[in-house]
Amino acid sequence: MERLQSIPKAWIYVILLVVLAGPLLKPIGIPIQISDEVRTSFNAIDSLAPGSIVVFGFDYAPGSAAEMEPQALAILEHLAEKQVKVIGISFQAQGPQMAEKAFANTAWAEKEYGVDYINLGYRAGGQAAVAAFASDIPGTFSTDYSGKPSTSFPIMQGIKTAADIDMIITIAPGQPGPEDYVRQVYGTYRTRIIAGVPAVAITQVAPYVQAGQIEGILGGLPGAAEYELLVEKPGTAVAAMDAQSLAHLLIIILIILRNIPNFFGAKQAHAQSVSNSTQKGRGGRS
Amino acid sequence: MKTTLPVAIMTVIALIIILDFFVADAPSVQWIKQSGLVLRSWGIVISAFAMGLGAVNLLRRHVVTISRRESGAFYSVLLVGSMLIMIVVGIGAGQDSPVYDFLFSNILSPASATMYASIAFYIVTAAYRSFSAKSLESWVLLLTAVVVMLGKAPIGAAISGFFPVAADWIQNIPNTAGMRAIMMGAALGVVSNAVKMFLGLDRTYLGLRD
Amino acid sequence: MSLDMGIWVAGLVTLAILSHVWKENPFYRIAEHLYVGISAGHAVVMAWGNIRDTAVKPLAEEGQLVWIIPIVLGVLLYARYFKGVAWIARFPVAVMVGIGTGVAVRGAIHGDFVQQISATIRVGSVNDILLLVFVAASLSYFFFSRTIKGPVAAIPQLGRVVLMVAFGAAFGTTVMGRMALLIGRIQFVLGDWLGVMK
Repeated sequence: MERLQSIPKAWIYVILLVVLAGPLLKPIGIPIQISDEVRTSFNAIDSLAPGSIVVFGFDYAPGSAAEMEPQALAILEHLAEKQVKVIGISFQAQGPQMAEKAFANTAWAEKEYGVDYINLGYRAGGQAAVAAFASDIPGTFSTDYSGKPSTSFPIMQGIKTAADIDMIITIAPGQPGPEDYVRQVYGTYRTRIIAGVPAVAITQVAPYVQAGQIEGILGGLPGAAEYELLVEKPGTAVAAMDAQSLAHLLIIILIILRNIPNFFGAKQAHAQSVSNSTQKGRGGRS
Repeated sequence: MKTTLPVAIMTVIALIIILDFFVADAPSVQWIKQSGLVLRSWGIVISAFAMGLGAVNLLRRHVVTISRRESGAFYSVLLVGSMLIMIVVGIGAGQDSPVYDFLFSNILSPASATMYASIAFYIVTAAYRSFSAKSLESWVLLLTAVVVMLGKAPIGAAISGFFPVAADWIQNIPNTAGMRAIMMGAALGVVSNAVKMFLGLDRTYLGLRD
Repeated sequence: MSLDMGIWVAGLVTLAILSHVWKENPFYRIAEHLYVGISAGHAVVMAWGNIRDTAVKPLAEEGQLVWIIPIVLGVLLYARYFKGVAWIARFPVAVMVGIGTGVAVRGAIHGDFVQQISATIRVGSVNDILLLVFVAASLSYFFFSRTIKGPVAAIPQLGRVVLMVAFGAAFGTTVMGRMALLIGRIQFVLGDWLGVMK
């Protein structure tokens, strides 16, 4: 037992790598259940009529792409099937490059730029920029990613404020994030919002979901995997789920190993105090 | 003047933007709405200039290291060189250029992704060495974490249908309650901090100590 | 195994950054400094794009002279680097902080306070009642101005337990997220680079 509690750091790292790489090389195939929150998001997007205008916030950077990109790709595939129009925006400096990559690697590559979809690029300013966007979209994004005037594209005709948008889908790990869209857009325009968030942010956006300010969320890589299954295009997220499951089991086992002394220590302390009080009762020493 | 005027400017601008949200669409107050629109778009331009401050700070520090040939000068050359290449190519040839795309996709992207990914190693060693429960509350925290970890991954449903249901309930009820309390407290904090700034009691944003 | 030079560079950068977990070394420092330099350069390029498209184009091509004001304010930010005139940088900072504060206050009042309260006081099911009780208990925990004694003290204690559950959930999802990021890198190394993953 003592040896189990003094495993060297190097061995822990090796075990972690084996636990993660093993299922990627030889999948186990643990079934993936679809959660209510992802199904709600799917149904919300599925309710969009052809020709609806969707603003897609590519608010993630390469640092979080492992979790966020699969979400973006799965949702974009769904939007392509629904034949909606997608306006890509970013409030994160590395977002436009993520948008270009996402459009190129999905069914949007076959659609017409400027008519079916557009990449409006990045605007600095964080929450203030989101507020500016909500009240004046062509003024805030006066050009597209390549520098051409945004109003010259057919997809932008008639788009003035967030009131002219049917849904905002934001894939955002940090600031600005879904909370900023809620504060600056939903408060005034009641625009429907779907948010793809990293696992660390699930607990933070839960109050907004319960309040109805965010209609649905995808949480982390499992959320992406479930959405991939719903759109019937399993990808990297589904492939990663066995590794994700085993990683969680590993952490739980390590936490149990760490807490065994506490548990047995508590039992021993309790047994000792019972023994002491029994001896006192017999007039023995305490 | 050097401190009072900036505080006054900040206060007036903030109040215009706050009022813009609450005033109706009446002609007499259209100037507030128009001013709010203009100010928010100005904020984008000024924020963009502010983004350059980071690059200037880096240049100042690393150019000194290079000119004095201090330890680490080689790395500073790499940093300054790669920064200047990105700026010249990005502004000159555009972000679509092969060089820019290569540096972004094959150095920046994997480096950024790996930096964040390496935290997983520290979490694992922390779980093994530090996540120790010694009180009732810490046991509650750890047990909740275990249930959520099992419930949010496919393994939980494979072990028992209890875990996904429990994880969802934890997320939607007690977690929402706790986070909502924190959020509401933070919202009150934002408002009270703003009032302090309007009254000139907090001027740290100007680089001044109160 | 990939023969693409870009993938090889990305793979080597990945290993160089990961090597830091074991020990600080020159390969890590090279990758780190390249990353910082390229990130900073990219930020400058994106910033220039914003300034050009939002202010310079309307000013130069459409004669909208009002854009001179934010451009001048932005340039004045750099006065901080010159002794004697560094105080001038307070003006653009004041404008930015004013805009940010205004936007934050209006968003906080409506989105984080009013709508959260109205979402809490709906009572339609047992879970709704539990949510109301838990929110009230958690809020009561943050009343530090007076020591609460007697039977009423059970309420902030309940709030403390609720907050522990929230933090436990946050911890569980944090672990989930960090593992996902590492899985992503391993997928790249085994799949895109070495080609051993199906």
